Amino acid sequence: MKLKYLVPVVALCATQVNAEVNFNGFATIAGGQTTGDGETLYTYNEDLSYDNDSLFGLQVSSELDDDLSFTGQLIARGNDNWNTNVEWAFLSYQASENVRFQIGKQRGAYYMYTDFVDVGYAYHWIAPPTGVYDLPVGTVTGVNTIITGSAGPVDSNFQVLFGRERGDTLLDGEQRESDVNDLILVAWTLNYEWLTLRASHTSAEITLDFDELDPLLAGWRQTPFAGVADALEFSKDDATFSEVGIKIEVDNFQLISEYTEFESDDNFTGDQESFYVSAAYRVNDITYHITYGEDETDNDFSDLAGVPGGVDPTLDFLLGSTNLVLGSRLEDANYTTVGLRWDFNPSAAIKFEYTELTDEQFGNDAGLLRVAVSTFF
Amino acid sequence: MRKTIYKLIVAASILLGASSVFAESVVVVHPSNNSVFTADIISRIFLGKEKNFSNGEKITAVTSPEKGDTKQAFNEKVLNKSTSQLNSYWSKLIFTGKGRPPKALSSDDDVKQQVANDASVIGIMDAKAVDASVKVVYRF
Repeated sequence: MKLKYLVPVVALCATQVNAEVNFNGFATIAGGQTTGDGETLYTYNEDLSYDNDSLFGLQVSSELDDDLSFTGQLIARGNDNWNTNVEWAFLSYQASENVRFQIGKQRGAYYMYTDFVDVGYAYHWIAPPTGVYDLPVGTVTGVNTIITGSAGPVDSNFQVLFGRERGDTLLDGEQRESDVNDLILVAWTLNYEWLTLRASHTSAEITLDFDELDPLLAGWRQTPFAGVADALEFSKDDATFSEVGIKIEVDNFQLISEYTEFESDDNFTGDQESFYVSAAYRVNDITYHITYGEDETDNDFSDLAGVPGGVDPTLDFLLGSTNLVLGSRLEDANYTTVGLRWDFNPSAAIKFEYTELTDEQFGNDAGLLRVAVSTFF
Repeated sequence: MRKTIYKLIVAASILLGASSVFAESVVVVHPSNNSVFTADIISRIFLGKEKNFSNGEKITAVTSPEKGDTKQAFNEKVLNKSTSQLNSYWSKLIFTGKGRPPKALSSDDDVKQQVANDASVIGIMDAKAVDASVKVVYRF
């Protein structure tokens, strides 16, 4: 998965002796810890950790001619033991003034910030709100058609991405094997001077590997209620993801909000709804910001309705465990993040953030203090 | 009397020194380029939002050196962005393969030469270095 994408890069560079090759990079080094004993939040705990939001990326790009270019990006992440992965590798072809094709491995525009989510320098937070930015799909390999246009002062960007991906996906802070098929992402962004509106809709067939559920699934398959195992397993399940977003920029003031819905009925994960609203105000080199967000996940227990309780101890055990698993996915949380970003250098910024989360579901309230330096070069 | 002369010389040299802060800069294109240029269009061109001139020709934008007065004045007066804001804007485009900032050349003469030799080039430079080989379409 890693080196095979580099081969085309080298091949392209070799054939175009005259093509200019550009190298760029970005890095975020972040540290954080929760503020109370035993508290955990976004994979941080009460011990200071530098791994969760730290990463660096290197990009090579080359204009092969006026209309054809190649972009490749390697990223090493602290939360993946600094393993280096090729996360972007695509050819871009500008077919006409308004139509461009991107062919290869790329990140879809699921959210307002997804396609540059790793470039911390490009936004005010240390990372965009985790409650919203947690779709279990990373980069995909496929064809993205981007149609741009403008009508007077309004710019429009419409894109349709067809793709698939087999690889590792980061979910709940853990790398899991995943297989994403038949992905179709449609995203539309409209921009008028101070106002940006966008919406996206994604559908895909997803398989996510949760080894820890295997004993439970095997248990159900030995009972007459094997259908319960199918209803729990995250295997070839249709999933849809929808997003709407708004951004208002007036002078030094910014207001950003996104609302997202993730639905994947035929497995144990449940349906999630999230939103956040963020306001930022810049005074010279310092940007002050505050964000409020809510996350809610519902789960479907109806597949257990037909299973009789109190008849058989094995069944009772399976019922109990399954209720626990489904229940553990429930989520009803809200959080507030306050922070500041100081552009102490034209290409580097230091950021401080405090997040306080209230967990209405399980009472696992937590506070998280983070500091990060983001740079690009 | 002699003191007064010295004072005048000092005052004059300060004024001369200060005048470089208010140096005029210009946006130049090839003399044959008869496209429409407004502050808004120029800003869109140098932010990579406009890919073709109004005459249909493809655009290649170049600038004077990154840290020079001309470039700084252009960022502030025409693009209305601080260097940090501009860097943040370009980082989004660079790392998604969507675009690259206009190339910064090493001198005003380089800008003039490229513009004079190529009808697709638009550049910014100090007004003092302008001659008949290029056409001024905007002053700032």
